Amino acid sequence: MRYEKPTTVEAATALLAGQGARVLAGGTDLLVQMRSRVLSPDVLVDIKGIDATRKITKDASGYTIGAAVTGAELKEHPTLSKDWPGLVEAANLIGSTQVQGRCSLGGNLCNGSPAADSVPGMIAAGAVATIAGPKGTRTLPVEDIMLAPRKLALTAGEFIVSFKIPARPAHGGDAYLRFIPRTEMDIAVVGCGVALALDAGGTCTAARVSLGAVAARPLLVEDGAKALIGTKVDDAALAKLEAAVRAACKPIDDKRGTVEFRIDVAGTLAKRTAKIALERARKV
Amino acid sequence: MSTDAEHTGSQGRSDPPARVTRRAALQTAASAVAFATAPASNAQQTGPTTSAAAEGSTIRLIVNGQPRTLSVDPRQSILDILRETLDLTGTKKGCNAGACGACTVLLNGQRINSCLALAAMHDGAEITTIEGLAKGDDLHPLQQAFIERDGLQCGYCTPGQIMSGVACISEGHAGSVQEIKAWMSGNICRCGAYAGIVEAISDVAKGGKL
Amino acid sequence: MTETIAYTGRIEDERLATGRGRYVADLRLPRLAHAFTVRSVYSHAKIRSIDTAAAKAAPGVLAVLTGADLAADGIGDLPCGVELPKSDGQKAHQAKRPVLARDRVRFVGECVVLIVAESVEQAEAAGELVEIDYEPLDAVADVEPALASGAPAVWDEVPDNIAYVWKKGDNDTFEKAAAGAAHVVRLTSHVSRVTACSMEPRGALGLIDDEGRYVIHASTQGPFNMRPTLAGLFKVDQSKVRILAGDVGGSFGMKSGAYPEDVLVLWAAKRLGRPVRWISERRESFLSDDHGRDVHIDAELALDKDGKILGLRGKFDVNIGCYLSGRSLFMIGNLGGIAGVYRIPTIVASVRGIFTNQQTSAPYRGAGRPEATYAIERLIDLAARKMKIDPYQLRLRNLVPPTAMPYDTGFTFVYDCGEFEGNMTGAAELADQAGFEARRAESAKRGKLRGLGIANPIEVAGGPFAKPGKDYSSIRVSSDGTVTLNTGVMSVGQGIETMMSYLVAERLGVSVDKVRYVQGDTDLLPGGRGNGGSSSTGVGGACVAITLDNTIAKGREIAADMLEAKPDDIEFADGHFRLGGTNRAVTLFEVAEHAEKANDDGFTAAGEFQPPSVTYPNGCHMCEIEIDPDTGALEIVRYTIVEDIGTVINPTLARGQIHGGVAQGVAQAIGEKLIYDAESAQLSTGSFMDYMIPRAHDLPNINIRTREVPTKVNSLGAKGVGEAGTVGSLAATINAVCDALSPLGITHIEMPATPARIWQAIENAREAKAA
Repeated sequence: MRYEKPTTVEAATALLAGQGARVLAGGTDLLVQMRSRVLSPDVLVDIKGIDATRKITKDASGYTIGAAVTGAELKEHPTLSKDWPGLVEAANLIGSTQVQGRCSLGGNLCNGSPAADSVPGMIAAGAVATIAGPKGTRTLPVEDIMLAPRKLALTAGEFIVSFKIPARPAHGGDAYLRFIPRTEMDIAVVGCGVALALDAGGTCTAARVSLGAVAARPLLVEDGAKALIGTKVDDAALAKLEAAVRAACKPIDDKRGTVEFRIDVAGTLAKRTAKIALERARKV
Repeated sequence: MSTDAEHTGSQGRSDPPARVTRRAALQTAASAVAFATAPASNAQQTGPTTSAAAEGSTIRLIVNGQPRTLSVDPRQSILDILRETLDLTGTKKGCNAGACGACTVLLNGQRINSCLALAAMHDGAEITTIEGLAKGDDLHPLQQAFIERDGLQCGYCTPGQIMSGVACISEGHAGSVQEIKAWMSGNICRCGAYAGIVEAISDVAKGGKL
Repeated sequence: MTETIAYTGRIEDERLATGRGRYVADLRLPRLAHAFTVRSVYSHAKIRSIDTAAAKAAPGVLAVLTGADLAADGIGDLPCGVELPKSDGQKAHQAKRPVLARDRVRFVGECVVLIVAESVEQAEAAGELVEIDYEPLDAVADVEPALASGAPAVWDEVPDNIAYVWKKGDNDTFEKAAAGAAHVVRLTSHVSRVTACSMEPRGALGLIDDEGRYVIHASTQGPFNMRPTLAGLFKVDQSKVRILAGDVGGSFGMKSGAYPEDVLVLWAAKRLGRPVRWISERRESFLSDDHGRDVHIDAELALDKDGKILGLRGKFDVNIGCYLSGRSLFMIGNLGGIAGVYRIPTIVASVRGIFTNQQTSAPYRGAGRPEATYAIERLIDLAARKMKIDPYQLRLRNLVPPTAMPYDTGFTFVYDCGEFEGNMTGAAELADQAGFEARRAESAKRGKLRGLGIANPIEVAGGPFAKPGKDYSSIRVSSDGTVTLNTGVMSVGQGIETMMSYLVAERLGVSVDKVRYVQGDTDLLPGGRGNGGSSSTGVGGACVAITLDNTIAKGREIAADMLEAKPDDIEFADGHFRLGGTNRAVTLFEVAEHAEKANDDGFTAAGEFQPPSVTYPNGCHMCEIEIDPDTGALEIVRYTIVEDIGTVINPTLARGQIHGGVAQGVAQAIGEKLIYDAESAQLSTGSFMDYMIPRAHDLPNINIRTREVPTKVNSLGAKGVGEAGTVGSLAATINAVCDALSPLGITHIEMPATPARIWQAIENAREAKAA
């Protein structure tokens, strides 16, 4: 097995186009899978040598966050936690503190688990991935990247360089909650990200609702957004949100919970998440 | 950290195979085990070329203040380098999967699970292990606090707990019992000495001795 | 008597907190070779063939060995030695565990092939090249399918899969009592299968020393326990086997027997002429460590109209896994705890060991005690609920009073002493039980369900119950100013080095830092209890007390010689042997110097202690929890214990043991469980990600008070504390959950009380109400 650390996107895509190559960002998921012999790469391509994967930049149109930026670095950014607290919280729920120092948004997404913590937070925020490949660069909304467990909409040689997060709307707020059996280390039973924006009168003008761990891939629940848009996000609207979220879930039975349990908790969680997003939107 | 545990169990296996077959990739892995001694330059990258590592590579680490130059296999973790190459056995292997915290060390001042840190990725890093905390005969305040507060029983998780605790305090995450419990949740203690561990960290955080 | 030395912390802590602990994986030896075991992926299968050719040719490989190679070397299976009958009345089939499976595997994770190589990575890589041709067989994964008619047999010799049967008491007497009872409540419940998860995985390093002896450094809690097994397998005298345990990173009962891997490293070392080490990987430990508990309970409690208990009947089916040994009998010796602290006029109970295609279930912290306490304490709560009597009051009504001591429970245990009511009133006060209902109402205002669960554990310690084990120790006083203590008991984290060193220092009048504590070496003593059964203080400490007596007696003889007097005229105090009535004295170390000059042996003494009977630690646990009914999430808001462990030798260490025990009992109640996939038989909770192990913020602060009712069974008055926390907490926590859910009409919930299960119970209750 080889370890390579290219410094340019072109060098990275060339390596990744080869047989048995895998992207290495933080390494936390990858190493675990290599040890349990689920994966056996021939080449590890460490993308952290590429500047664009490690930076967070802010401009009028929003944030560009490198795919290998860690959860801890997201938290330390001076303004990101204020603008997108839900996204930052979601990224910092990945694993224990020691893992937070190393895990990345890109890695969490590309691991291809429907239960990935940071993904609903990104989807709710409207994150769009910038993908580099042998044929050039393209963009794709995060909700379109994971197709099924361990199956990504990336082709040979492609990797995610960074994510574009829009500027936070004037009266916007986001939140992420998840429900897990015991602690952060465990795999989520349900994860929910909600972002919404209000007009000056307090009516919701835009919303995005995303769920993790309740289907074969993280979901963008459009009916959930519709339940909130045009309302003051009162109890009636939240009840509709809860119902829409429950209708969208397609979870499985496993040792962490039955189908009914996960569907029920997803609805409860969505309401709680929306309430936090609402409070945040009202404060700014 | 999330893995796909939902569809096929945490190992990703469904039906056990009738024959245990050889995996083609193993051919590569088996031959990569032997250490390559040809040095490769990872230290500086000039220009847009890749800095390629051969089967093995040389890295430089500063471990407990001592500069070390090491030949490493690309699959070796910092934990294995510490224990097997440098004979610093104070850091423990509890699960080798980043889930128990027994292998916690400080890397450039930050706490990491050394079992999940590929050595090859960390050329130039400064590492502090449990052996590097005390100054001669003077114990680090947190080591002393662990002893005073009965924060250990079998001692196996203890080096990881202490290193993690040092960082927890320097991160500013030791402001209350609840905060300490949350931010130390990456370190398992099966003997159940959590009460003493939290008190020890709290003592040192309050006392400002760090 | 002796002056108590102020406690300044554990002696072993400086070593452990600076990374200088020496666990098996830390040992370094020249030419060390590394072992890896290829394990079965089937729960039940024939082995048609094993092809090791490719593995043997892999880089760095020194040996690839199978069950056939073991047989060729004349090494048999691990012993069984169970004398109990099976269901047809014949002696139990001696279902011995092979060191490497030969023609059949019976559980997922069974060792099939041993690989030894220059490095662990090379051994593992070679392991992938081994080709095993399996023919899968029908398997039984649990007790119910194992007992179903027509079920596949784990052992051809035992078609009904019942390994052993045991019973005590008279069924007719119970039936009469039940017939005349106002109420009979029944509990059918499964105490789940869990695993010890010691932070240090198992490991062993085997070598042949210069004298040709088999020497093994093992992560074990029972060096002396292993010796006869190893000697027997290698067909040598026990003196040709030496077992050494250094620092052991937790064990909890799991590391108390000889495992196949222990045999394998010695066998490989003998064949290769090199030391061989095996360290379990964490994934491997979930599969291959002896598991714990897995007991199905069917029990009934009969009461009169005033709530006085008239009788108890219990049936316990233990899923012992696929092999049988003395370790499979843990439920029997400790079953007496079902009598609890209550007067129960008639008790009848039976235990069956059931074969399944699972790993062995063996002693794990409590080893049947938590299960027994769970049975009686749940039954009492069920009765209290049914009869609308307060659970605390119902218990008080049936308590054995102190005036009844010694109290014969009429089943197996005879309590020598105990003041049970004092435990309860103490716990009630400490837990502010009086304020609970107000707290419950306040929780309800916030939409939460609050519950309070009680349990009065009582357990046997310093046993085993049937025949308490003997312990040995020895002391050497050296002229260099040190005292060396060798103990037959040992620490796997409990601080025994400290407890013992203080005992020695106080008695001999030396400072603690002059005491050298040595444990875990079978060469140094005729025998030893190792660790286990909450015996280190009551038996090990008492043994050391005897050895100290013998040391002083010996010292008086030598001093008499030095002072030209009779030993009877010599007094010992403060480290000095004084000729009574004079100011002529010699110090302990001067005596040692004199003895060393006179003979090679120097100033040594030995001692042994055969406990005349067992002891009974007991207490009252109160667990208070709050549940979020929308999600089933549970928080333990308060945990209170009043525990009678007899004389408390070191309060800090005792508290640490109780904390640790509670952590394990609570965790089993709310989340820990080994889960095997029904179809593939693979373990789906095989890592710390999937197996719920308690972390810092899962457990509340525990409020502990000890009450001393000293026992006369040993000179220290100590009853034992190692398992006490677990014995009560499993029951108290489940009782608390049931109490919280009772307003919804829910009477019982099975462990683990996970959010999903709690939520489902609430849903079912809502639907039942609506219907």
